[in-house]
Amino acid sequence: MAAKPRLAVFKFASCDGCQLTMLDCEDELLALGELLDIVHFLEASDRAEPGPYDVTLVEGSITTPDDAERIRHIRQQSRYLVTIGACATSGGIQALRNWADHEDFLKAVYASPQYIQSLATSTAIAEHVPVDFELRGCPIDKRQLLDVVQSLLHGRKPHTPSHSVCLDCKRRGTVCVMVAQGIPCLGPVTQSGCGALCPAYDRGCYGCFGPSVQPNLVSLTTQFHATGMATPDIVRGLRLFNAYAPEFRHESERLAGDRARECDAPTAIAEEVQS
Amino acid sequence: MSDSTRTIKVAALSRVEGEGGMSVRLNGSEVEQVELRIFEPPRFFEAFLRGRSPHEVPDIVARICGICPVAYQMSAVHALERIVGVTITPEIRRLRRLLYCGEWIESHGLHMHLLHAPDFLGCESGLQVAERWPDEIRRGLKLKKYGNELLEVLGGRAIHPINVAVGGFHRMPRRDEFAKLIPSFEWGVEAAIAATRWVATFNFPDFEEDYDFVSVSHPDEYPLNEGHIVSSTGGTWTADEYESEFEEVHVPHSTALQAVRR
Ligand code: SF4
Repeated sequence: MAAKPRLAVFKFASCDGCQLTMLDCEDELLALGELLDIVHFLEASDRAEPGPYDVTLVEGSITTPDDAERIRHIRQQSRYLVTIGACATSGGIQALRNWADHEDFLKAVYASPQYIQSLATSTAIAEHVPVDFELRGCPIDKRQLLDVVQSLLHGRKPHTPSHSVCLDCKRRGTVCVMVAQGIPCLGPVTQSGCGALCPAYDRGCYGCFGPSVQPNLVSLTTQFHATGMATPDIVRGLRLFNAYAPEFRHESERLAGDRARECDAPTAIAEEVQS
Repeated sequence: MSDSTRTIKVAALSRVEGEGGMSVRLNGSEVEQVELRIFEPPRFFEAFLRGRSPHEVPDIVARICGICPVAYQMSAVHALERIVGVTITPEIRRLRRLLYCGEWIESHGLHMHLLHAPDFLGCESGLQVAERWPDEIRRGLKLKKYGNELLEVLGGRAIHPINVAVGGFHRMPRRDEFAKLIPSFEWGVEAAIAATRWVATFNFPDFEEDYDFVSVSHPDEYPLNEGHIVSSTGGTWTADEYESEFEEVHVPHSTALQAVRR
């Protein structure tokens, strides 16, 4: 029998929720352990073997100089690198610092900011190293995770749907909360993945899975305005867990008239291209 | 430093939530100093919550931790309800407690079976424990799964529930959604007792220190969501008195603040 594929899981700035999704596969976990050799997964095991790894799952965003280095090393050791969750694919909620005064943020939390090593930006893994597949969500969806892992085990290219949450509401038979109740909803511009959860709970989608393909944000925010929503409320609605995802970012900046900082790490891909 | 001094360093702790390391300085066989280094990168929740609408807070604070989002959601809604002077109904109170129980069942199932049991049984992971104790780990995973199912019914999903709101819930659960869970939980009561009996057979080291344990206490129930702050060395305080009794200190080797008695 061929050797089992070596799987590694790494964490950067994050909440652990996306890694936990793996351990939340209660019915599949033991079987996964048979199919894969989990050689590095600190949250679940003492094994912390060096690479190379066949499949690497990366949770979290890049927010410190050390982490900007660490991800480059991990990339070198990984054959197939998958980023999991909004932190890793767009910078996460901690990317709100990208619009703020970093010094002020440090002082708001820490009595001695000089002890803290932190970049002024929180950025997606793909801004630092090439990524083979991005799995969206805050948190990621268990079925999608299993599907990606299974695809890789069978040598298939992973694929997740990129249509909007709107379509899933129709499939689920949920009456549109925006049309029927006037509740602002990001469903028309957010990628599928959660199963259209929030509208089924009588509330608007808040964008956990990030922008869908070709989202028409201007049209949606114009509609928000028409229903009486104030600009700052719309901006805050776009600045949540995928605030720094390009489509959400550009629309919130168009409305707010401000600009976020570009990636602060000296090793980011964009800078290498420029120089 | 004398010749007999040495330091044991653990670069990264495994099977814990978040990221940390530890160093222990020994003089001969005497422990001189223990340092828990939390190098989890700061995410600045306290800073970016300023200026947000109260309605957004339960969703945002959940992301502090994916393993215990309900804990943050509950503290946040209670704080905000006190600020705006909202009193919740007894029904909401009981449903919140139930949601929190779901998280405890999930989290305890996870910690007991996958995170801690390996240490007591000399294994590297829960998967390795399962090779020798398959039934126990399967039972633990099932308990954990049922905790998650309770979270899903009330919260919409297990990690970062979407149904918690200031004043109550976005949508009340339906009776039939709960009814489906009853057989699982009837099994779960027995299974939880059996799991506790299994854990009780572990070899716990005989180690007593002069600690000051602090927790929440409630006269009538196991305190999940409300009560007084109490200490094992005596002392009872209300939540309001927390800041005058406790201090959060920032030490050089940790990005996590340390709460100590003033
Ligand atoms: S994407 Fe969301 S769930 Fe995943 S690690 Fe980041 S904050 Fe946690």
